Amino acid sequence: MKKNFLLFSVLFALAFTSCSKNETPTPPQNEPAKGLYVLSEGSFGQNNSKLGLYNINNSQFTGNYFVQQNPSFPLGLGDTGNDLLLYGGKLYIVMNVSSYVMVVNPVNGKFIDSISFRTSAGLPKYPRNAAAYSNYIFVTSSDGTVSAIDTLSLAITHSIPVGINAEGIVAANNKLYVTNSGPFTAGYDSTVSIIDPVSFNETQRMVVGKNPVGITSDEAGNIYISCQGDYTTHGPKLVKLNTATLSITKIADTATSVIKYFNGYIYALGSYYGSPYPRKLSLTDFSAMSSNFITDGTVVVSPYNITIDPQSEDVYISDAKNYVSAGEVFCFDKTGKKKFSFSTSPGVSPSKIAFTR
Amino acid sequence: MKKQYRYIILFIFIYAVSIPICFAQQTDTLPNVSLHSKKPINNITAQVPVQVLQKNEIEKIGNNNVADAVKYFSGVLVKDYGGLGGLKTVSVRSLGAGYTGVLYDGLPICDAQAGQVDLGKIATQQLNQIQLYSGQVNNLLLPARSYAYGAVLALQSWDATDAISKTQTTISLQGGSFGLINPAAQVSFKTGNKFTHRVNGSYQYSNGNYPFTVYENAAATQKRQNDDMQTIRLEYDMQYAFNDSNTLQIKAYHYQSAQGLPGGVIIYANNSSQRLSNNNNFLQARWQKNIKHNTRVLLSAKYNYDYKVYRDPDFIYSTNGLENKYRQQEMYVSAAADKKLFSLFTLGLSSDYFINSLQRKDKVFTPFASPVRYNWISHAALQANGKKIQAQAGFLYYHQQEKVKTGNAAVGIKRLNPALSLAWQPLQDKELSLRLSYKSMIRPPSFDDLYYTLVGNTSLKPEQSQQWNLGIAGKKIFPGFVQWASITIDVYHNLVREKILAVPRQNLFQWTMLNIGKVQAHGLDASLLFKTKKIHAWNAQLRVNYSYQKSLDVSDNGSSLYKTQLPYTPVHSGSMMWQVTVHQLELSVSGLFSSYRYRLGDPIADNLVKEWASFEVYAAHPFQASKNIYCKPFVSLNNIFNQQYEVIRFYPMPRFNYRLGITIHL
Repeated sequence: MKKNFLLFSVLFALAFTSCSKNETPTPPQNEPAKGLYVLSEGSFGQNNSKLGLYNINNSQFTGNYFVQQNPSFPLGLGDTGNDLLLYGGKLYIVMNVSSYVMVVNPVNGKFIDSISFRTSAGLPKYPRNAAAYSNYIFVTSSDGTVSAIDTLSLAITHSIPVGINAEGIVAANNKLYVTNSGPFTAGYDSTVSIIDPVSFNETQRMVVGKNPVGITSDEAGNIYISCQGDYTTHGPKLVKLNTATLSITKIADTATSVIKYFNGYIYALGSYYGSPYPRKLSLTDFSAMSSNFITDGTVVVSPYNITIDPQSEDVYISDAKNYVSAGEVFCFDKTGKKKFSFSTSPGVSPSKIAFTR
Repeated sequence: MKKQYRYIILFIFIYAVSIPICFAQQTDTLPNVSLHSKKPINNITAQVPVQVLQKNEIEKIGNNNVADAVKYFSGVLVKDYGGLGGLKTVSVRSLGAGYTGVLYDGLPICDAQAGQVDLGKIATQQLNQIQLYSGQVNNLLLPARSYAYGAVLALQSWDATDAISKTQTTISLQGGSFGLINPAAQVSFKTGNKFTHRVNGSYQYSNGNYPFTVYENAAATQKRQNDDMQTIRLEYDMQYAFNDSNTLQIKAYHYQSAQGLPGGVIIYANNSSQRLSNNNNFLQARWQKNIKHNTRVLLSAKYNYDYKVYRDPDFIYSTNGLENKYRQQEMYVSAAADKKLFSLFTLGLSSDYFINSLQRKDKVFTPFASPVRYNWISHAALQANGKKIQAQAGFLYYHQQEKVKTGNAAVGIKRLNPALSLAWQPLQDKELSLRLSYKSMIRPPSFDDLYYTLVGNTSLKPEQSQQWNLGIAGKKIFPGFVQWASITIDVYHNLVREKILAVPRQNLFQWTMLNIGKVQAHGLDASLLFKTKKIHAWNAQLRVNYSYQKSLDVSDNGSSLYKTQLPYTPVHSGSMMWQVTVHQLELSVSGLFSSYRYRLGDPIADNLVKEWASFEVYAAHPFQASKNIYCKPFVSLNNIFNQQYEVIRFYPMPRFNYRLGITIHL
């Protein structure tokens, strides 16, 4: 336990020092969370993505916090909020179908800026996921690029071509790793692009497995990739890649979608195939510690995302329910016992969570 | 497989038996009444609710398509995505659009891929009559499939019994808002005494770029993009009358369209470049013969060819854009007969065999199932026609089997479904009638439900529905200003089980179809019709329809949506149509209204879609231009109060728009 706190403090100190001087410092992660920002994707084409804020002290959830704090945006964020990233004192909201990144002050939820994601021909790029490194936010887009946003100017400074349908992105070992899923390419893509965040180039593209989507990293410089397969001959796989040697060190036939590494385990959700329950996987052989991470019988209808608070080690599971009505967020302790839950109304399909401390 | 053959043999047997019977008989006394009788259906004594729009009403409402016209029926929900090319599907009494059967000149139109018909694509200019049966069709001489729907919309484009003595030509030209141009022509003629022909066609174009209020900024106006549509329609009808009671009808239909698919408005990133083209052709033949005085036989056949191309040139997920090409075919044969038994009963038997196939013609990465569906539907019913009581009991047998090239084929279907109906006229003069009906029906999964890449689910079962209706209808002739009035009030209860719903798995880009829905609907449809006395050349008629509809999602009693109203289903809706003629002038004011609805299940402000009302005015002044030329100029003003409303959230409807035109009869 203590070791891990230490490790996190060190990691965050590292991240902190790599920030530019002008950045608002991110509070250290070892303070308890005061609030949870919850991004609900909404329903495709309904322009109903919501940013809600849950106050842990009084258990109040403000479902439409962004609109409440920004009356000049009566319609809110737009369509399909895909990722939420708190970094350097700013909250970045990746809006997939509305094709832009919204930047919000996490202290009061107020609008700071919005960054449009368009191709040179003016078409939407459909941004997907974001990861932070140094002074930049790197955002994958479905047109097969990774855009680097300067966290000071909030402008896209670089657009780095990667594989078609760039999906997940994670920083590890001073590089960025991007899954290229390519479901509309013949036979799917099966690669991970490696980006050098200093030269803003793709330095290498590695074959990892068909239709790679989810990606997560550990402290030792390994990344884990969830490959969905092609739904016919190639089944789903979970792959471990050593970033120092750039070699695949483990492959298992486990169907996963969302994967999150934390504290020696991988927390995983099932995919098109696989388990309907959230699971905790062992790092030695990717086997499940138990068939269901939840131990107290709490029913999560449609587990949609997993977020772990490194400070409290609480595991938050977003429940999309029926995907058309209000979802729910469950907080479990590390043993899988429910601590609390709240409805995300009017937020439909809650997914990503960010902590304010 | 063996069973398959058995049905084919049985079917051939029905044909083999019925054909010699047709030839063997000569005389006839039964009137040649069909579903498409010109005589208005007596909806007072009907056993199930029937609503009718005649040509002179159809031309005064909407924008030349069937979907716009049927909005005026009660109990009907038209999902209108706006614009000329926008999808328009019709569901009756919350059964879902897949339960609405569409008969075009006596034979069903079917889209086995989507499982529902886009009624925005059927023009009304050539139609004489539109009928809606909210339940079982009463007529017993129809293809068996006509009884395999929850509701039937019967479109009649011509009636060859119209006595034409010489060649008749009609030319019309319309133009209007958003670049609308719509020429049409029709020629009816006779060759010899027995052949009647009709050729008709139309062309329609609209750029569709109508203005709408910008969602992000109510003070600004934007124009709808990529909403153009171009269509060509050609129809040829032929009737050969061997004699009054023995006729052969052939119809050839060609429809071609190219359109933009503007999609819903996506705020902050409105962009659209998807295109759709349709090519639909069918050839159908119906041969009806009366045998003796008490038996009628109807043999029908149809071949349908449908080719659809969807293109997204800006599809960002692949370098060459996206192109989907689908070819759909249907081969259809049907035999039907009805026979009067004693003086009280009529027995109706019909049997249809048809094959649907779907092929994907574009480059595909995953193998496509290329399903072929074999359907055998048989229907038997007995109708009793008493002086005061009319009753019908029938059974429909639905058999379906599928074959695929790759993957699993859908589970076969074998179902027997009953239907019962009853009408009772307690009074001597038959001007008051009570009716009661029950119908159970299935909706087989569509090809899209079953085989759509990754989404489809071949283990789907058919949806099941049950419909109950209780109604009262009456009409009265008055001595005063109101010459006569009629009223119908029906209450109903519908239940849909095993409803097929798309459910995403793990993320919004992976969906699957599951039989998980259950819907309980109850409601009331009321219709009032007044006709006033002719005073100083003023002749007026007022029709008012009202619908109350509670359609509850009862799929899962653990869900927050349990017993909430279905999305997009207004509790109150209605229509009015006021028609006046003053000398030659024809005037009409009509309107539609809908109460608020929710776009998604949760009844919360965020999901609210506001109530709306839209009114239209039509005026025409026909005149005789010369001895043989009859002209009818008209003007049609739609949404006269310039309301910005939505039927489907983020699909803005056009504000005020107009059409001007002239029809010339030679």
